[in-house]
Amino acid sequence: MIEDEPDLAASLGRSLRDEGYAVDTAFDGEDGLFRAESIDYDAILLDVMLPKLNGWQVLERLRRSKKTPVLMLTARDTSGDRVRGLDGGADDYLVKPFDLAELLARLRALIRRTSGCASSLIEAGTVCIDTVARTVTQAGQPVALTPREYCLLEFLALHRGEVVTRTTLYEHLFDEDDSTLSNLLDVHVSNLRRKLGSDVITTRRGHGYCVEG
Amino acid sequence: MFLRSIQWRLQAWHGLTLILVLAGFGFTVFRLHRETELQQMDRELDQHLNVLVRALRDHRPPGRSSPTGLDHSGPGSSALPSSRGFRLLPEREELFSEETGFYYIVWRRDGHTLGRSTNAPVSIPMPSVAPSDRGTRARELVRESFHFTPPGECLLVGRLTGADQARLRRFSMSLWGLGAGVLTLGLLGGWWIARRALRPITDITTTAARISGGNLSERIEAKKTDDELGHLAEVLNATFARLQASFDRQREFTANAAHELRTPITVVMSQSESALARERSLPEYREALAACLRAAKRMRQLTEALLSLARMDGSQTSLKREQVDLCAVVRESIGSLNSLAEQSQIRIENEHGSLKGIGDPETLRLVVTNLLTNAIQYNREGGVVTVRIASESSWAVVSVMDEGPGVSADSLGRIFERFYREDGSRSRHTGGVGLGLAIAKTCMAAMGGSISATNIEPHGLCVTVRIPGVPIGG
Repeated sequence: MIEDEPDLAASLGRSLRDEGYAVDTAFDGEDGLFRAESIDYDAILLDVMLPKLNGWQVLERLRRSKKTPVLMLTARDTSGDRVRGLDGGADDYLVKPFDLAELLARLRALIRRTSGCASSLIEAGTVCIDTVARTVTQAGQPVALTPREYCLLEFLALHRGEVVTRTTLYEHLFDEDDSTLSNLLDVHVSNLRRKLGSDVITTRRGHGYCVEG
Repeated sequence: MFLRSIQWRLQAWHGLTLILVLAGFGFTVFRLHRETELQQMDRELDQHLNVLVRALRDHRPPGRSSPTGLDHSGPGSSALPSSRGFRLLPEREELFSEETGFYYIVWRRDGHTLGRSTNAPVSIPMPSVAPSDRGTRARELVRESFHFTPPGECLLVGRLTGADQARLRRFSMSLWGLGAGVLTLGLLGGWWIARRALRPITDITTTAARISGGNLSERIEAKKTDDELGHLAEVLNATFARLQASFDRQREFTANAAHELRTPITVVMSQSESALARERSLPEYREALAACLRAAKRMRQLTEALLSLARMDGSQTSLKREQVDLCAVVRESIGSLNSLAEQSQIRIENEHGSLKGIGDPETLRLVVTNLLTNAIQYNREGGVVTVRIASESSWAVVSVMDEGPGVSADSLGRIFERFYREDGSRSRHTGGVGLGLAIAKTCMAAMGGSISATNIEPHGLCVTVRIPGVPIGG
């Protein structure tokens, strides 16, 4: 999230973390661009009015190297501004003041689209993940998961068929303020296997984890 | 409806003038023509009469021509040669015939006809004795000249004027026809010219109506011509341009104001939504409420700034114009900002003295406080704000200098624009709404003063306000 208004950044960050997202916050354009270029985020929330580099400039420079989905937040709402934002490489556009629910829905849709899923339901074998309700069912039976376990499973399912490295998982599931040790990943994985069956997540030694499509 | 149209009115006047001119001209031409004709006829009658007079003189035997002889020739006297009848020589007689239209008749003094041409009308009344011996008279269809000889004979030469009158009538008809033709042509031409001249007005009206209907970006297509309508179009276009610029400014200002309000609203919404989403700890609630309060304060600040701008924009005349002691104003402003300066560890240096200018003290205090607040907020930590008061020709000048980073050269001219911010973002650390300098500028303009900004070397910004000084001795 690149947002210079501290109160807004704080409340948005809190809401996003409540939803299970790992959130890094930058308060100006330069810092935001640096982070966006160095880390593969699932999505970037970008404010337009920023010190140092404004939102348009950040977007333009970021698009030279990265395809990270960008949701622009701005108080300007003329259609010209919207067209400029979308043409400038933004994936979605939200006008302040916005509904938190709408922001979250757009963010989910954005992340889903970039991983190639059109629906909010992800199916991997017998496991079905509802990304809106954040619930998991196996063969029709609900399975109770902790938020962290859910995030881990959702991320692997969004990239099903691919091998996801531990570093990637760590980057995507924990934000920079998290002091969690990386071996917690193993704990979460073994918990998931216990709840869903050991064949849901396979381990590729030396590479990472994988959920088969 | 016709009378209300310029074109119809033009046409009516045009037609009326044309008719008057044509009528006057035609009448004069007709009169002149008839006069000439009559004179010509009278001349011819005279010539013929002279022939007759000569013939009569020749006809009278010599010696008998003495006036005494005629004197006693009473009526009924047959001894006079004239009583024997009078005839012209044949070659003279030819002058009086049906072909020439002339006829003659000669009477004796007593009214007895001495002789007449063959074509003379049967009954011609003998003219009564005229004061002179010659006369001309016009009867129905004839014109006659007569001459009384000294013996008392009356010679009369006449001519039938039927043909002449018919010619005159034809002439008058052709004059009428010509007049009608010229009038028709004139009216058509006038109509065409009026239409041509007025068409641009119709165009201008249509375009102006369209523009006033909402499309302010449109312009009247001004012809290259340098005529009155071209000027009118130019003037209208200039008016529309100013109108559009002012509308655009207004729209942008409103958009900016709305934009500025949206950020605090977003903060309030997002903070409260986030806080209400689930059970939070007490410090979290407290922090959310504090954030909402900060946003509300920001909104209050913004609405106050907007209100004071609106008041300034509309109240140029309600400002006082009185003598103000600039030093006192500066001292009061500094006094009200002492705590803010202490918080930011800024020292304010004020040169003492006394200088009077002309303006509204309340407004001037607002401006100076504004500039001082900026100078404190944008200063470096532990920096100094210097206030200088001076007199420059006819101006009283207050300069406020800080030791902050200054502004870029591009921004120097723009920092007085409403909502202008140098880095394009909300100035988070100062909490300003981007209207302070714009308000100051509006205030100064309302007081007949000015405001400007320059960078100071090596760093810092100097904002200078000028108000009219007190005239010497005033």
